[in-house]
Amino acid sequence: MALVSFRGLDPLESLMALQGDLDRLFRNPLAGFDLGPSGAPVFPPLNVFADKEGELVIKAEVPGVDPDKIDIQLEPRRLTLSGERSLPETKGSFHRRERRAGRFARAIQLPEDLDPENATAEFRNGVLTIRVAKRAIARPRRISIKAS
Amino acid sequence: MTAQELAAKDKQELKEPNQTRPVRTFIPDVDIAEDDAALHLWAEMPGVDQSRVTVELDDDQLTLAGEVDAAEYEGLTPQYTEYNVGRFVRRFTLADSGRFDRDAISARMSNGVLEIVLPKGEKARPRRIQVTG
Repeated sequence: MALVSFRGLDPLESLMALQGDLDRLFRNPLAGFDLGPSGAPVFPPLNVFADKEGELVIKAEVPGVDPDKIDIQLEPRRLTLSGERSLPETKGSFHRRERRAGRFARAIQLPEDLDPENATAEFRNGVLTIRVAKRAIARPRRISIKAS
Repeated sequence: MTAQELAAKDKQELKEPNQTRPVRTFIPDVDIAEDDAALHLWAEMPGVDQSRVTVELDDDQLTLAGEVDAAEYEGLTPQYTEYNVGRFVRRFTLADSGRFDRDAISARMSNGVLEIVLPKGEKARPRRIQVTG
């Protein structure tokens, strides 16, 4: 599978290429993830990537959520994200109300054996990025053939 | 008060049939509130950095736009996706726009949410009038 690479593309072309790639892998049934009830969207929406080193990179969109209010639990084959989103208080009256507040909890079964000890999480611009390496044992090992 | 469960919904897409370059554009969820002093607006644009947000107030048209930086995805191979990213655009027509002090408009990005405050001009603020007798 080709890595996403934007070399030689202008920013707009890069964005369109990215959108195409994300579209093609939409709810990819071959990915081997068990994400719970299918059909209805669950909060937060997740995108799962592999990086050049074979690490798993999981992105979740959680705009307006205080990072202190997000709990991440990582087991070898399962990631659980939970937390709460609260909306700012206002003295006035609302003309329009589309944003939602409330608690969320989401568990995702991951296909590979991951190394929870070496996971990192970063929160930027309302997107949570979790990077997890695979367990050392799970990484493919080259076996050399001894000449007889 | 019981905490409700936060339900998700897919991003709403803006269908613009005549773009010269077909970038997918989404409509950010917005809350708008008004109090005595100002109009407040919050627009969700996850993944958009402050440097890539524009807010324009042109006559009575308020336009918000933001764009995700594809370079952040360099070297990542998608395996499974549930959401797409790209541009966000939303336009509003301000009712009775003369009551706002346009020069005092402020905008700020925080955790993927754009917060705009449009203060009302002095004239527009409700005033209590003393009734003498």
